[in-house]
Amino acid sequence: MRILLLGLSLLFSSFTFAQATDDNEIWIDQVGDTLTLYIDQIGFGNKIGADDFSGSADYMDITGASLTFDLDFIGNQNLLFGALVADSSSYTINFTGDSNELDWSIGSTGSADSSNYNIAVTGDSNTWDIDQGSAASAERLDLDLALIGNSNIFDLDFEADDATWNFDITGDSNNINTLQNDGADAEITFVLVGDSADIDINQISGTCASQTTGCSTPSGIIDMEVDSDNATIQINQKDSANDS
Amino acid sequence: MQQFKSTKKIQLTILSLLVISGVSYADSIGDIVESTGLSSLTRQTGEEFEVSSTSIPSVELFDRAETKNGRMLIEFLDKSELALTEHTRVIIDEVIYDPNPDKSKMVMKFAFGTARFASGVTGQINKNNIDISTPTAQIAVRGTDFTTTIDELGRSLVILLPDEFGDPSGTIIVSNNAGEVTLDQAYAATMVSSLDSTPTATVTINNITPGIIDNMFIVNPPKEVREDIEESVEQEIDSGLLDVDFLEFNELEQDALKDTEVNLEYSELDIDFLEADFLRDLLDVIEDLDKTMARLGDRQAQGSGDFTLRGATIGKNNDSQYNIFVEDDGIVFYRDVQGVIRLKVQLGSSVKIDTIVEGYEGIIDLDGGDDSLIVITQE
Repeated sequence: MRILLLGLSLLFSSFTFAQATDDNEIWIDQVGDTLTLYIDQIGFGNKIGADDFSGSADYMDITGASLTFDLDFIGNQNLLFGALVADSSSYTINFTGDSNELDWSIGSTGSADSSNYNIAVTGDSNTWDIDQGSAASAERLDLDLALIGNSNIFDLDFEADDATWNFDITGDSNNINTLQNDGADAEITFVLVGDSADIDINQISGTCASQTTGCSTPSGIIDMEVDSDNATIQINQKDSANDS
Repeated sequence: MQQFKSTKKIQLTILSLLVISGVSYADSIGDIVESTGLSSLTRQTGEEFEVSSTSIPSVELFDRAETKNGRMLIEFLDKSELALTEHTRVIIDEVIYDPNPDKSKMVMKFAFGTARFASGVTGQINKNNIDISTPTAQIAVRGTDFTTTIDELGRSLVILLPDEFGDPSGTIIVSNNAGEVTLDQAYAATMVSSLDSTPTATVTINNITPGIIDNMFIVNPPKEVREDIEESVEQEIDSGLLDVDFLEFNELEQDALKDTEVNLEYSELDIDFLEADFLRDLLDVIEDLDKTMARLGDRQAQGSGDFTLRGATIGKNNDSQYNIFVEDDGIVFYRDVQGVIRLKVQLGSSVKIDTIVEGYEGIIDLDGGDDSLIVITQE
């Protein structure tokens, strides 16, 4: 068993905001089980992983099982990109700041079962894109997201069985696009407080909408509570292939 | 009185189309064919249209017709006529035109002043489905021409008018929580003072014509009605302690929940989770949908704030299969058919919910639906 403890505390002064994304770069390449990864990123313009996830380089490739991530970012314009293959892993992520960007693919080349996320984001204009289960359907996924801030863009695509999400979104002009795909027993509880939101909730499969083919155990649940003016919300609950 | 040429041909065309297609008509439901002085129509959105010789708005669902120092005559598509004298307000609450008269419906609230209603001669609406209410009484119509005069306290004087031959124009039943009376003679009248007081016994008013019935009856009721009211008062005064029948009162007959808030009427506990209709008859769906699209279907929440719901009602909705109820400070839309959707919208929000599922496509508006749009698709 390998245990790698990586603690990083990065503190930077803030004087060249426009060039902030080049201030610091961390690449991670890790193989092994029971990793516990702590990152405390304080400052702005820091980067973990590659420039973007579309590259072929070995940026933040982490492969293992029973991994624990505890990531704290305080500051603006920080970037986090990467690819993970991780079963039975937990993710505690706290972002405080504006214009941060996260792009993760979990299970991009392998299994990513039994994931447990606790995400708290406070800030404006953050952009998040998380994909999980693209290579193999992930099972037992629990995601809690608390977002406080305005004009954030979140795109969360999970191909997973037995997925349970709890979203608590507070703020105006947030754009949230979620996909629960490729599995049964999908459930999402979504609380929205804030105006001018653009929300897409896609729950594909896990339901049995067709009356012609029948279904013994339709199991998709969407529970949404809205306190908003000028919101546009699209809820798709389908057992077809396409989302919105 | 100034006369307006109504577009009869257009009306007939619209009416014919409605009869042929069976589609409920949700926009214009009638025209103002006569008007004098100051009067107006106020849409549900709050937009007000003054009626004048150069501007004659069409009558639409949920309109509030109101006269100030003027009069107005509205002719509905089924030829029913509603005449308002000065300082009168009528709210057009629900109008459904269906090829089957049994499925057509008309509901209006006479708020105050003096108004006359004559049911249509086309027979397009079953008279059993015409529901007129005043602040203190319900009026069931059976092929009739009648007037109501309502004062500022809501007290309602209802008079059955004769037909062109001087015979009773039909029968109306005036009822409230305390009882009912039937008017079946020309110029038969009853007065209702409150929701919980019995309508006065029927009296026949002499020496009047429909033309003289106006708000003067508020300050000076017809002699026959006044005498009947005075007689009722005297009977109440005569009732001394010895006249009380202490065995007559039965607590068990009281409905303790009758006046409670609407959120006690239907809650999540009332949802029958086995009641979901997975194999709906398509004809039933279309029928329910037609009704949904045309009706007001509003419910006024009490205590937790007022709201208006269009396209659905509080409780179980058979067309959309939404269970709708008030919970805390929000309205919950719960649907458990091939997947569960539970949507809670804050009271005070103006939300349009567009639902596209197998067996139902429809729009539900909460408080106008102007602010937020929620589209629910289930395939």
